[in-house]
This record gives sequence, C-alpha cells and structure tokens, in this order.
Amino acid sequence: MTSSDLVLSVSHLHHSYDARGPVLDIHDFQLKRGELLFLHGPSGSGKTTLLSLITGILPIQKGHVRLLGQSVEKLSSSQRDRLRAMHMGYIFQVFNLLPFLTVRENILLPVRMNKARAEKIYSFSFDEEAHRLAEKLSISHLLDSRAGELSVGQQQRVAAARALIGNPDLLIADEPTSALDSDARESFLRTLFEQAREQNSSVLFVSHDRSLMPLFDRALALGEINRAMARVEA
Amino acid sequence: MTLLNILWKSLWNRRLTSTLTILSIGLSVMLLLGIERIRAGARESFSSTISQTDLIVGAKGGTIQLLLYSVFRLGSATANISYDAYRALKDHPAVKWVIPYSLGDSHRGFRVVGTTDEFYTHYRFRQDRSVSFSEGQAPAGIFDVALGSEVAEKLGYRLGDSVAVAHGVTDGPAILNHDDKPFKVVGILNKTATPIDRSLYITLEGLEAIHMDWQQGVPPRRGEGTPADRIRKENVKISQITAVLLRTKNRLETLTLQREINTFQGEPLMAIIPGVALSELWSVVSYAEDGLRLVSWSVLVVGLLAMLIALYTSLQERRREMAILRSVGAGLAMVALLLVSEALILTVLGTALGIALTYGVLYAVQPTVESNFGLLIPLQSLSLMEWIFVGVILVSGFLVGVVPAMKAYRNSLADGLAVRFILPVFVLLSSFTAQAKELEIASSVGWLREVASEITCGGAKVELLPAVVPAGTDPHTYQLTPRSKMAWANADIRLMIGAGFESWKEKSAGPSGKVFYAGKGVNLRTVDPQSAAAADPKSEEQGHSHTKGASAQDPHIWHSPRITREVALNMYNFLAPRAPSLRSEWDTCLRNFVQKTKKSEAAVHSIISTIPSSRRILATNHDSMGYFAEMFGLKVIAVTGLSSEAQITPGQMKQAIEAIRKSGAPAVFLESALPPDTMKKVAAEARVKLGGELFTDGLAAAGTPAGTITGLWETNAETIAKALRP
Repeated sequence: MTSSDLVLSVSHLHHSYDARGPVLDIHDFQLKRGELLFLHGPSGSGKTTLLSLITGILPIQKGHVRLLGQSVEKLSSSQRDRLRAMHMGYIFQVFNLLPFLTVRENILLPVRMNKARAEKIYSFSFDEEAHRLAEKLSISHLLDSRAGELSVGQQQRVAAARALIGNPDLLIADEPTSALDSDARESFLRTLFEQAREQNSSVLFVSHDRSLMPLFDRALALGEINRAMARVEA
Repeated sequence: MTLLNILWKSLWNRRLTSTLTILSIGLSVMLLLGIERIRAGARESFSSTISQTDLIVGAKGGTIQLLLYSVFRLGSATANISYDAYRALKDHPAVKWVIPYSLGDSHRGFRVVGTTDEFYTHYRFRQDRSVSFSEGQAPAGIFDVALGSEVAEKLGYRLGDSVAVAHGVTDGPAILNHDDKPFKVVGILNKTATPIDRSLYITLEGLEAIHMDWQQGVPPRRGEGTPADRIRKENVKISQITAVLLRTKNRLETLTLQREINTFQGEPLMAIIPGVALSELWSVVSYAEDGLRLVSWSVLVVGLLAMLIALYTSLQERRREMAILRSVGAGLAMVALLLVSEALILTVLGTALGIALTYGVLYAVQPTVESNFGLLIPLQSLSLMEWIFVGVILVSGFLVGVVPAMKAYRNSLADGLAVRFILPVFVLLSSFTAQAKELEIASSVGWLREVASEITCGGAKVELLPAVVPAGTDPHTYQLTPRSKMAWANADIRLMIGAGFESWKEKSAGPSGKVFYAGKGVNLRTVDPQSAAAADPKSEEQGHSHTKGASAQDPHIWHSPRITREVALNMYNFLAPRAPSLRSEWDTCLRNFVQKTKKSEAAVHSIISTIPSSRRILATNHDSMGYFAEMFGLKVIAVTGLSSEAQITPGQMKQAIEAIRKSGAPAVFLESALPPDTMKKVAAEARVKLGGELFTDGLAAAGTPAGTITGLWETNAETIAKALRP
C-alpha cells in the first residue's frame, strides 16, 4: 500500500481538553510494519487520548499522525471512520463484544461493516474465515455460543479474532490482558503475536503491566514520550 | 447480518426494558385514544337518544324546552295540544306514523307518560333499536302501567304490583295522589340507556281517567268522583295531549310539513327537527366536550413525556454498544441511524399496541359502559383526530431518537467518543466485576497519593489516579475541573485529608465508594482562632470550613513525620482488607516507608539543631507549619489563621508586624502556593529579611526536591535553617 515500511508515525502531537493545558504532547514516535510495540503508561498518562487520536475517533487538534502514508489530520470524520474500518483492529480492556450476538457474528462485525475490509480476508467465505481465526485462537468450539455467556478470557480471544479479521495493518490493544490471570495472559499474547506476524500486522499494545514487556520487539514509556505528563503528575 | 439485524438482536437482548418502553408508549396511546373515543361516544350517544323521528310537535314555545320534556323527560310543557290537532297530524297524507305523548304526572320522581301502542312499535333510538319488554307486555287496560327499566330497578317493582300516580311532577311523596285509581304493573321494559328507562308508561285513556271529574286542576272530593271500576276505556274521551313524535313517509317532505305545522290554523303548534334541536342543545353543554378535549391533549403531552423518558433511558444504556460498533468501523451516520431506528421501532410498536389495546378494551367494556352509563362508544376505525394524535406520537418518537444521535455526533467531534462513551461505561461496569479490574484509588492531594503509592509498593497492582489538586496549587481555593470530578466520582476508593480541608469535595456530586480520611484517628492540632494572629470573625465566616468554630482543627498534617506514619498505618489497615492477596507484600512496603520517614525525621532534626534556639521562630503568611514547628521545636507567627482563603485586614498586618518585631525573628518566609506580596510588605515593615519560599500547602511538582514527602520536609528544613542561622 505504501512504499515506506512505516505503519504509523506521530509527530508534534498536542491535545488538550480544557484550559488546564495539554494532556498529550508527543514529539515523535513511529511504528514499523510488523513491529510489536509495547507502550507502557499508567492511567492518566494520556494513553486513551493517544489511541483515540490514532484511530481517528478524536479529531487531531495540532500535530501530525500518518497512518500508512495518509495524514489523518487532513481527513474528515467519515474518512477517518473508513480508514479505521479498513486498516485497524481494536481490542479494548474489557467488554469488547456485543453480548447478544454469537461469537461468529461478533468476529465478522468488521467485515460486515466494511466492504473493503471484507475483500482482504484470506478465505473464500466469511464463515470459513471466522472458523479459521477461531481455530487459531482455540475458540472454534464456541463459534455459535452467545458472546455474553463466555468467560472473560474467552471474550478477549473473540475480540482478538475480530481485530485480526480482514488482515488489518495495525492492531491496537488497550490493556487487553488486565482482566486475565498471568498464565492466560501469556498464552493470549503469544497467540495474538503469532497471528499478527503471520498477517504482517503491526501491534500497538498499551499496558501498565511491565512484566509483559519482554515479549515485545520494542518498548516505550508513554510517560517519557508524552511531555505533557511531567506537568500533570503530582 | 445487516444493521437492522444487529438492532433487532440488541432489542431482543433488552427485551424486558424494550417491552416496558413499548408498554408505556402503548398505555399512553390507549389512554389518549380511549378518552377521544369517550368524547366521541358521548356526543354520539347524545345525538342518538332519539332516531327515525322526523319531527316533534308541541304547543308553541321554546324549541329546546320541547326537546327536553318530550325526549329527555326534563322540565314540563307550558301548554298542551288538542286531540283534534293530533288526529289531523295522524291523518295527514305525508305522515307515516305518529306517537302521542301525554305528560304531566309522575310517580316518585319518575315521569308518567301517557301514550299509545305506536310508541312500542315505532319509537327508535340508536339508529334502529326499538323498545322491548323484559317482562310482561304493553299496557292495554286503562289502569295498566309499563315501567322503564330504571324505574323497576330503583323502586323494586314487579309485575302485578300496584302503583299510584301522583299529580304533577314531584320527587318525594306526592301532595296529590291519584290513589283512588291505582295502576297495575303489566310490563317492564328492557334497558335502553336513554331517558326511556326513567319513565312509566300508561295509555292515553288511563291518564285521562285519573283526571276525570277534575275541575280546574282540583280533584273531586272523596266519594264524588267516578269509581275506578266503573270507568271503561271506551268511555274515556281524550281531549288533549302534550307532544307528538312523527315520521314522514318521504323524508324530503319533513321541511314542508314542519312549515305547515308551524302555521297550523286551528291552534299555535310548533314542530322541531330532533337532530337540529339536539345539536343546538349540545352546543349549550359543549364546555363539557371542550373539557374532555383538553384532557385528551393533556394526556397526549404527559404520554409523550413518559415515552420520551422511556426511550431516552433505553438509548443511554446503549452507549457501550455504540462504542464497540465505532471501533469496528461504524461511521457516525450509522450510529445515528441505529439510534433513530430504535426510537422509531419502539414508537411504532408502542403505538400499534396502544391502538390494539384501545380496541380490545373497548370491545370488552362496550356493553357494560353502554348499559351503566348510557354511553355508546363506537367501534369504528380511527377518526381524523385520532390519526392526528398517532401522527404526533410517531413524529415525537422519531425526534427523541434524533436527540441522542445528535449528541453522539457532537460528542465524538468535540469531546471524543472514546473518552465520553467508552471510559465511564467501563468504569461503571467494571465496578460490578471486581476481578476484572484493579482497585482504583483517587487522592485529593499528592501527599496522600504518595503515602498510598508507598504502602502499595509503588501502586503496581492498583490504579493510583493522579491527585485531584495539582502540585503547586493552593488546595484551599482549588476548584474541581469536570474531568477530575469524573475521575474522583468514579474511583473505588477516595483518599482525603478530612477536617473540612477538601472544600471542593462538597461541590462535587455525591460519589459512591469508600472514603479514607487521613485526619481521622490521628491527633489533630486544634487552634483557637481568637489567639491566632488571624482573629477577624468576618473573614472566618467567609473563609474555609476548617477555620470555622471556636477551635479549628489544623489540616496541614503532611508536615509531621509522626502523623504521616500514623496515616500510613491507618491507610494500610483500610486498604489491605480490600486486596487480601496483597497484604503480606504491602506489609513489607509499609515497614520500609516507616523506616524512611524515621530516617528523614532524624535528618530534619539535625538540620534544625544548627539554628540557635532563640532564633527558632517561623513567621509565615498563614498558619500552616504548626505540626512541623511543634515537632521540631519552632515558634510560629502567622499573619492569617489556618486558611489562606481569609482576607488580611490592616489590623492583622499591624499585629503580625508587631509580633515579629517583638519576637526578634530574623526572617519571614514566603509560601509556594500564595502570592508573595503580603509577606514582602510584612518583611519591609518589620525590617527583617525574606527567608525564602516554603512548600506549605503540599508536595511540589514531581521531579523537584520538594516533590516527595521526605524531600518536602528536608527542603523546608533547609530553607528555614539557612534563613534563621546567624
């Protein structure tokens, strides 16, 4: 899609909610294709704001975010929606799923919502693709269960499958393992990474649990790159 | 799986609340349509009290009056018409049938109507219903009487009972009773729910017979009149009647006939068309209808509000769903469409239910209502008015869906969907699933956050939120921002100083969760405001709550290493039961922290000991260093009292300057969070030097020497010692 091997690059990014000054002031940070980046940040370090800006849910006030060579700040709200739908997979901390849909329906949400994303799937049919991903994440036996009946660990695997479907360029995970116990945590991450590598997707993983750090290619402390932090923290 | 499919499954998932919403809309619609139906029914019932009668003829007088006494059995006629006139009408070529009425007598408040068999065969009401008998038959004999259903029911008469007719119309016992000529009940009419039920029916001859031998309205003396058993129907000659109901052969002739009667040559007659007279009468009582219509509109407004509330609440519940859909690429338009469609679906279903309920209930109660209230509620299709109501309801349902849709749109543009939508919901929901999230601890000031951080071993397994009051801000006058308010209100545990220190807390919404007060369970310094340099009662009133009362408690406990240790222990006892698995880990960290404060305390002691004891005087702006001074043997002179909020009066200034001069203090100190002007002035007046800046109101910014608890103590001690040493 782009000649550069950069999936994401952020520079001079400022964001503030009120007159109390910026909550985000990032000079520069980049994510290469296929890279697994661990972004360490305690709560209040501006990570939700950063993720909202990268995913295009919040409009950019000041600075630049380039996603796959596109300047996000120049896009309209609906263009950002399309960009997110096509190129990103998102895993929340908890409550990722629509509890009234089945696991299969949850996994297929992004491709049902976006045609361009649907064209990027590997398999011949949606069903087959859902099954393939579910198998990889060891949840294929749950495909027809209602998402609301699953354990937290199973739900996170479904969320991962949904984020991975349609071969997104960037996977964003916002503390997806904080609800899991330490064994489940590691196996979840290994499966996720294996899939991401296979699809050549970059992973931007945000957490305050430093014990996960060794599993990644690179680690950054949001508190260090976000210069607004020093002013906010008491 | 289309959008509609998701919507449907989501609605089904919330079927209880969705059902309730639909039900509440349905009930509103039913109430509205029901009242509208009753209003229409009342009008309809009224106008169909009499039907198929083309003209009512009586003596000349008021048209309404004629209608009232002939149809509604109200009031009475001022004049009668002759029997000859009746015969003339009966034989008129244009007339199909006539029903004569002879009125004027009563029985216990019910009218007695003298009539003929024509009444039983021709009288019609409610389009095509005729009078029929539930028991017995029409009166044939001269002293036979048939009772309206209400008469029979109220007075408890049965067939064969004897009834005395009273002369004139009276409610109670009659003054003049025709008791010499009693009537025998031969028939009881079926219920008609019209005024027919409230009358007794006898023959024209019967009515004439009881007035036999009367002279000018005075009855014959007892024994003088003709005895009842001697009167024969054939012998009775009828001279006059009260009114005549008639039907024309060809209804087009009605108007011609009416004109003819109105200009009748023999005597002054008047003919009215019942429908015209009825609507004239209805307009007299139309305020009742207006009242009902007003009720209809009020019900519509209340019903709509209830519906809006129900819909709005259900839409608020769906914010998380919206956030998830946004994350998988749904655009704002899609989210808005979803919200609007849901509102519309619920409204349409609710309205349909309401209409169905209306018809169902009407069908069920129609017979009862008709027989008990005389109200005929028509089971017809929706009227124009009702369609308008339904339209207003549907449009409102659509609009109520637009409101949250607009809100979703505006929020995501201005404040961010992720922040406003995802976070509060997560915080809220995760408080129900304790294992899903770590304990979230909010602190009012940095000192509390650091104590919490120390005893929880750096906060690795808990969420320590940034302190609410930022470093370097005056906590006395601090105002909560909307963001910090939200974080504060959503935390599982809130750490506070207490003793009225956090005045901003009172202004924030009443939060749930647990609060730890550092000021509780430790020995607080009490200051008598009278003896403090700040003794202006006015400024106390306006000032901070910790300056109120006869003796105020000093909240500046962070300057005391001893109290800090006590607070750490209390906080550990407060937090540990909430994280049992971490207890032993935290126990070690608590011990380490206690050691750390003891070490720092010793360091401060040795710094202070470099000052000659006569020079250990601490002159500051407000009385914030009391704990520190007490612990390390310093004497405090403060210009104002405990709170920095109080205004300094010239009197206080003078007093303080005098006290500083007298004490021989070598220097006065500035406070980091307060403007330096006051102390600069004091220093100049008292001719002492400025000793530098003390961090009195909490920790300094992170990364600076006074940014930690022990750093704060030691930095302040260094500043003091440096200024006071000779």
